[in-house]
Parts: sequence; structure tokens; C-alpha cells
Amino acid sequence: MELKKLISPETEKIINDKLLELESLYNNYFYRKNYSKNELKKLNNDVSFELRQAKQKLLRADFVNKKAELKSYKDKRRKEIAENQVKLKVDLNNLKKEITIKRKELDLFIRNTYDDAIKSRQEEIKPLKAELKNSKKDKISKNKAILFNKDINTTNSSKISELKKIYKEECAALDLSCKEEIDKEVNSLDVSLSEKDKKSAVKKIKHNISSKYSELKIDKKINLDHEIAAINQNITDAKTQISTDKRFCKDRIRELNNSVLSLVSAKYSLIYKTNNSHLSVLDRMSRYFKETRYSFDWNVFYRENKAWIYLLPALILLLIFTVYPIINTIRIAFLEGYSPLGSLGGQIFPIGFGNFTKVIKYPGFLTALKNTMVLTILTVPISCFLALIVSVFLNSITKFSRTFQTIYFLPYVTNSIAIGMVFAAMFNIVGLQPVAVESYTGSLQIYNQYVDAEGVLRGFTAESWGIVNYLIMLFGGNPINWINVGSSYVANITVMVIYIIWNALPFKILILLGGLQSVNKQYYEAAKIDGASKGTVFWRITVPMLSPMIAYVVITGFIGGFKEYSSIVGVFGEGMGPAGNAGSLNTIVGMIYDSLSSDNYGRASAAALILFVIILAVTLVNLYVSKKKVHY
Amino acid sequence: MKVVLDKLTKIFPNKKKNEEVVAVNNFTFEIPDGKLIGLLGPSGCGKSTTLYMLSGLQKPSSGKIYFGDDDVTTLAPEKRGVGLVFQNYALYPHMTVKQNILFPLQNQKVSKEEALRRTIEVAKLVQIDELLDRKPNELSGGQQQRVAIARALVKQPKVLLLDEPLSNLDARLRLQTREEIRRIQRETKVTTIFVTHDQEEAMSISDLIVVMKKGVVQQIDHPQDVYDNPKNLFVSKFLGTPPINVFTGVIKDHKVFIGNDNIAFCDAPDQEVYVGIRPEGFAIDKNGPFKLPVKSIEVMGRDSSIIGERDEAENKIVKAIVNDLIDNPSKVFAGISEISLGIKEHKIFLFNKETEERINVEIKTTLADNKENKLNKVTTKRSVAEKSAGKSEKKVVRKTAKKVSNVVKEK
Ligand SMILES: Nc1ncnc2c1ncn2[C@@H]1O[C@H](COP(=O)(O)OP(=O)(O)O)[C@@H](O)[C@H]1O
Ligand SMILES: [Mg+2]
Repeated sequence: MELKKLISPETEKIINDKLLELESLYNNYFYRKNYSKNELKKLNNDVSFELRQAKQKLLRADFVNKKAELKSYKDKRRKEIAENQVKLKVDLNNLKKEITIKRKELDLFIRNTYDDAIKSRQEEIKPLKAELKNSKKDKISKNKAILFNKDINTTNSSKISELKKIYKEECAALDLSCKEEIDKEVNSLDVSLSEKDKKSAVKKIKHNISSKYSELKIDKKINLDHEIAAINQNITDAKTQISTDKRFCKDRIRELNNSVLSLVSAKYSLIYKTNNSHLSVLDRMSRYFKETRYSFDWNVFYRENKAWIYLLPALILLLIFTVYPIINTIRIAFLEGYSPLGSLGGQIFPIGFGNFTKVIKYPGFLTALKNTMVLTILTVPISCFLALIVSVFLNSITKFSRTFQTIYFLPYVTNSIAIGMVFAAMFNIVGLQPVAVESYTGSLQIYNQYVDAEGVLRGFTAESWGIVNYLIMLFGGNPINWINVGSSYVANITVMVIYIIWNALPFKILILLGGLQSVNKQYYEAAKIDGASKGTVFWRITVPMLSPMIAYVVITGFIGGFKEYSSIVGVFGEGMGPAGNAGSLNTIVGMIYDSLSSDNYGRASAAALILFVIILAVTLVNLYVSKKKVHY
Repeated sequence: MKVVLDKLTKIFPNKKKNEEVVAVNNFTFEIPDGKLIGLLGPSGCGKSTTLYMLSGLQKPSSGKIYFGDDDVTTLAPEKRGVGLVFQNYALYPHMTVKQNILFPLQNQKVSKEEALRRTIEVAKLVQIDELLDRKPNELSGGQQQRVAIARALVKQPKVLLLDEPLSNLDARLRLQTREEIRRIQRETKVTTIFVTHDQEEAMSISDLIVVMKKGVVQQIDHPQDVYDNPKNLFVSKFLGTPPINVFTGVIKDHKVFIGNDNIAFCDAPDQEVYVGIRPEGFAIDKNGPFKLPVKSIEVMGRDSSIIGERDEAENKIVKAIVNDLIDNPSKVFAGISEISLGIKEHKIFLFNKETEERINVEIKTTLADNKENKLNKVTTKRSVAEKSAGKSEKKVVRKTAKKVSNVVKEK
């Protein structure tokens, strides 16, 4: 009994095609909608990407051109996009209407087709069901008649009781013959046997014979059961037939009902698909457009502004502690007669150059300027050159290179005041040995040091002249008064130059060594092949390759040199000069501190500004030179 | 000038792992004067090391190097008169092209006018005379490469060494520059050693190819000979695109089997072997002995290749190129699950299973040989004869080199 197919394959195909069409319409709709939404953003992204690319790749002039070109392109595109969007809106509205109509049509079509099918299926299976039910009734009643027929039942039971009777008689006969056989065997036993043996023999005989007969009895019983079952066969058959008939009908009817249900479920799944096809399309779309979705997203914001977010804390601190003070310094420098107390009291100060004239007229200013200049101009070139030589050698040794690098770097991590004190000790007198000198009055006086009639400083034993003088004397020279009372300016400056160079070396070596290590070794191999001598390699390969580092070291060296202050404190103490000649080695920064400590903020600010202008000028000169000489 | 490498060996100590790397192992070879030698091998096989030893930048652990008749083993690089072009060119970035090329001459104390003259001459030769005032970073890869060659050539070196000079160029430029190098070498007639890991590059440019593997020289031969007569499995696999098909096979009663297919006959004792068949060594043949289950068809220009699967093949994949003038291969092969292939005699090689050395015997297949094949067989026989003569490898090498130079001279 096959049910015929109610939805033809052609109809199924039509529905399927219509569904696909609907989906593609949705696809079109959402794609265009999303695309126009994202177009502007994409344009921005593209243009800024191009710009970045161009900035890296192109020369400056080309870049400016490219920028303008991109800008005009962007404006043009923007206009186009806006126009397109207006057009698109109309298009999309029409499309939406079309989609709605199509959807409703399809919905209706499916409903009609399937409802018809369902109806005809229900009609089709109605007679089948009825037929099934009838035949079920027929068969069951037929079998029930067998089951409850009195004649059959009585003949059956009489036959069975007869069989049982025969069985019982046979069993009794068997028991009897069993007893007889046992007795016979026992009597024929040997008389001479002992009592004990006899007993066990009898037991054995009994066991053997009775087991033989019980087997026979079991056979008989099995036979009997079989025969009874055979007699009852027709009744059991009728019973099983009834249950199978019942089950068969039930199954068939369930099957028929299912055939209707499957049509119903197909109908609803198709209708669901029709009305929700935009969902699957949307899902796909959203994945497609995810990267460029509009609306604020913290993650996106973070990704695009990462740099600024990380820079913010430092930026705030810089604003508070650097930018504001600089602006304030400039302001104060131009306020005549400025005082902080007056400022707090709301006093208005006239603007003018009074502070600058004060600085220039200040007696220590020219000395400070001269000292600063001399120290800077002497130390920067020498220390840079020495650092270059040392780093080239450090780079060329292979054994213990780490150890040496550490040693050369140690001064950098040592406090400069502490180094200053060590220098003072080296150039000073260690372990004073007071000497008795006859004064012009004739009495003996105890001096640490004195200048004799010829102007030579005396007053110490040889070993107390400090290690530098000791060395000088070792090679037969005359001891020099480096930093003590009455020492000459040249001696003082010499000590300071040595000290500052020593102090500045490690940092410069560090930078230059780093630069050297990042130079591709292949250039040196190429130079070797090209037959370059060591000197040529140094001047024509190493120095140009290192030129960015050298420029850096020179520029920072000049800036540091102009800010020299603590080194002089380290060697000479806060007097800024040898005892008896305080201030003779003062620097501009030293002067600024002096002004501050004497509450002269206007003068301090003006001096700071002058220093700033000097440093700016020198740095600009440096940059100008390096632009011509440095290879980046 | 000829260059002789005599048992050249370089061992690098590795302090960390306390083991040694034998970068170059017993390299013996006489490079004929004025030839272009291709040094070919996979990355890390010691090509650069060989070159650096020739240039003097690295000292050999043992062995000798002769330029002409002079022992230069311990000579400093600048005194050897070699030009070296580094893989990444190593042009001095702070100097202009002109200064770069002048640099070696200035070191040789050549007079100013002379140096300038030679610079312009060599710049013209490599066609960069328009770019002399530019800095290297204002040049394209190919132009930088030419500058590097010019810098190497300007001092008129006796030997020119090129370390993978084309590997930083894009595909089209590589082809073009390759020809350029060949042209420059022909014009200057300087003995040149060209290092590359690209077999096609080596094949197309060199007079002689040296194939290396893990520091050991595998084969030295004429490019086509290396392809047609690989000495061992490695060489056969290293040359040729698409690569050779390698099968595990067996020789039984003078029959060569792959699986159950008796694909060829040969005169070797029974043993297990590797069978190498070049992709172009197959031909469609109804009665062909080699049965190939077809997986797909690839069409590339004129040729179409059949991709099939055999368990005996390395990676289980077999590639057969057939150019049997099939107009629409995918149509022809549609629905065919297995195809019978014949094998060309000179495209099949047998290798010992343990040593992976070539088994030099004549192989017969069912496909008739054409003329071209016969020509190749002559060379096969020659190399067989050399081998059987039991000469030391060194002598064979020298002899091959001589032979090749003779051939070239005859031409
Ligand atoms: N300076 C070195 N120290 C230690 N091992 C090296 C050194 N140079 C090369 N090697 C090793 O020698 C082998 C050959 O290197 P190389 O000649 O550069 O190979 P390639 O054929 O790629 O040019 C490699 O295994 C490499 O690791
Ligand atoms: Mg290399």
C-alpha cells in the first residue's frame, strides 16, 4: 500500500527557486545598505593609509603633491557618495517593497499548495484507515471464536487427562521394577564380605539403579509435556494471531497519520524560511561588515588611539612640571622688579628688559659666561673623540669585552659629587703636614701652607701633594698647585676639563658602542675585500656609519656643557672656586642658583632665558652642520 | 685565471653546544679559466663559506687554494684580487654610486683620472652610468645589484665571486639580471663563481655546476649532464621543476618493479631500489606498464600534467607531464580513473636503497627511444666507463672539467 507523492518535484523546485530568489534579493538589499554605510569610513581609512604609505615612501615635495591630490580625491568621492546615497535610498525602498510582495506571494503559494496536499492526503487515507479497522475486527473475532469454542476446549482437556493417567501408571510400573532389580542385586552379593564393605556396596547399587530409572521417568515427562502442547496448539496460535493483528493495524494507522504530519511540518518550515530568510542573510552580512561597523566601540577607539592613551600620563606630567615652568620663567623674566610675595599680594609688575640689564651688569656674569664657554668648548670635542676611540677598541676586542664594557661604564652609575671629591683628593693634598715657619716678627708660626719670597707655594712634605703631583714629581717635574689657595686659573680649568671629560665619557661610549654594534659587519668585510686600510675603514666607513650617534653625542654634550654646575661643586665646593678666590669658576647655572638663593627671581629667570637662547643657537648650528655631514 | 681548490675544509666550532659544524668538507675542484661556475645547494650547505674562503674573509681549516699557480691560502683578502658581491650587496649607504665604485680604486692608490675613467667604463658595462650621483637607497634592487657588480669588477679582479646575488630581486628582475650577469661575464671573461640555491638559475647561467649537500660536493658536471645523469638520489631530487618522482621499487630477474608493475628491464642483480622517473618521462600508452590511478589534471600552458596516486611514491603523489597534443585534457580524462603510462628510457634512474647512489646500468623500457634519447645515452655510457675505471674521484672531476672545457673550445 504505497501513498502517492502529493507535491510534485516541479512544485518543490519552484518553491526552492523562489526562496533562493528571495534570499538573493535580501542579500542585495542588505549589502547595498551596509556598503553605503561603510563607504565613507572606508574612504577615510583608505586615504589615511595612502597618506601614511606616501609619507614613508615619497620625498617631501612629492608627498605634499600627493597629499593635495588625495585631498581633492577625497572631497570628490565624498560628494559622489552623498549623491549616491540619496539615489540608493529610493532604490532600497523600492527593493524592500518588491521583497515584501514577493515574500507574501510565496507564503500564500506555499500555504495553498500544502493545504491542498494535506487535504487530499487526509481524504486519501480515510478509507484506508476504515478498511484497516474493519479487517482488524474481522480477524480478531475469527480467532476469538476458536479461543472460546466449548467443543474444542472439552476435547482438548479430556485428551490431556487421559495422557496424564497413562503417564502416572507407567511411572508406578517403573518404580516397582526399580525396587525388584535392587533387591536382586543385593541378594546376589558375596556373603563373605564384611559388614562395612557390604553397606557401601549396597549404597552403590541403589544409587546406580535409581538414577537409571529416574532418567527414564524424566524422558517420559518430557514426552508428556510435548503431547499436551501439541493438543493446545490451535488455542495458542489463535492468541498470538490476535496480538499481531492488533499491532499491525496500530502501526499502519500511525504511518498514515505521519504522512499527513510530514506535509504539515514541511509546510511550516517552508513558511518559516520564507518569512525569515533575511535573518540568515543578515547574519552573513554582519560577519562580512563586522570590521567596519559604525557606532562607538571602546575596543576600536583603543586600537585607533592607542598611542595617545599611553602617552597621556607622561604628557600631563610634562605639562605641569616642564611646559608651565618654562612659560612662567619667560613671563617672570620680562616682569621688572618681580617678587613672589608681591605677586601673591596682587601686585602688578611692569613689563620690560630690566632683568636682562641686571644680569649683564651683574659683576659675576661675564666670568660665568667665560667659564661656561671655555669648559664646553674644551671638553665636548675631546670627550667625543676619546669616546669614539675607546668604543672602537671596545668593539674590536672579543675576549672580556663584557667586562671591559662594564668597567668603562662604571663612572656613569657613580654620583658625580662623589667623583668630584675623589678628584679633589687626587689633585689636592692628602694628609696635611703643618710646617713651622719663622714669621717676620721672629716667632715661629704653624702654617698649612704659605707662599715664600719667590712666590712658590710651600708648606707640605712631598708625599702629601696628592697622587697627581706625586706622579709629576716621580718623573722629575715640579709640583703644581691645582686647586688650593692661590692656584692659578689655568690649573683650575685643567682639573675641571679632566674631570668633566672623565665624567662624560661613559655615556658617550655607551651610545657609540651601541651604534657600532648595530653596524652591519658586512660593510667591514666589503671594505676588506676592497683593500681599505685600517685608517680608511675608520674615517670612511665607521665614522660615517656612526654619524647619527656622533651628532647625538655632540649635541647632548654641548647642551650638558652649557648646564655645567655640579661638577664644579664636586671639586671646589659651593664656593665655586679655590679657597680665597670664590666664584672664580662660577658658571651660568651657578649664577642662576645664586640669584635664586638671594630671592632675585627676575634676574634668575632672565639668566635662564639667556642660557636657553645660547643653547638654542649652538644646537641649531649643530643641527645645521650635522644635516650636511650626517648620513641617516 | 684558473682557480684550484684542494681538499678545502672548513670546520666551525660551536662553543655553546660543544660540537663542530663541518661547513665545507674536502672540496677539491679545478675551475677552468674564464668560466662561470654555479655553486648549487640547499640553504646551509656551505656555499657561502666556500666563497668566503676563496675571498680570504675566512681561513680554511685545512686544504689549499691556488689562483693560477700561486698558493693564496693564507693571503689577505685585499691582496688576492677578488671581487665579491654580497647577498645583500653591502653597498656603503653613505656614499654615492660613484664613490662606492671608486672606493676600491682609491685604496689601490690609482690616480684620480685613471680611477674616474675606469669607474665610468665599468658603469657603462653594467648600464648604471646614469645613476652615478645617487645614493644606494635611491636605487631599485636590480640597480643596487649592478652597482655591487660594478664595485667588484672595477678593480679588474682575477676572480669574481657572487653570493646569491639574485635572491633579493623579484621574479622578473631576477630573470633579466641573470642574463645580464651572463653577458657581463662573457664580456669580461673573468673567472666567476656564482652561488645560488635555485637550481633553475644555476642551470641557465653556468658553464659547470657544482652540487653541494651538507658541505660535501655531490656532483660536478655540465648543467644538462647533471640533469640527465644525476649521480645520486639527492642530485636527482634537487634538480628539475616539477621535481622527479621517486618510488620504492625492486629489481627481480632483471625486471624493475614498482608495486606489481614491471616498468623496465635492466642488467643489475636483484635488490631493492629507489626508482626515479622525471615527470616528463611518462607518455600515454595503451599498453604502458605503469598503471596510475588519476587524481586530477593540471593544465599549464602547452603541457598538461596528470596527478596520480601510488603508494610506492614518495608523498604518494605522482606527477606526469604529457604533451601529447591533447586539445582538451580535462575532457579526455573525464571519467578515467586509471591510466596506463609508458616510460622513456633516458628519464628513469635507479638508485641503491642504502647508499642512494645511482646504479649505473642500461635500462630498457617498452617505449622506443628516439634520436634525442640515444644522444643522451652516450653520455651515460661515458660516465659509466669513468666510474668502472676505478679512478679516484678527484681525477674524475678534473677530467670532466677538462672535457667540458675542450667541448667549449671546440664550439
Ligand atoms: N661563523 C659561523 N660560525 C658557525 N657556524 C657557521 C658560521 N658560518 C656558517 N656556519 C654554518 O656552516 C654551514 C654552512 O653555512 P653557509 O656556507 O652560510 O651556507 P649556505 O650554503 O646557505 O651559504 C651552516 O650550517 C652554518 O650554520
Ligand atoms: Mg649563503
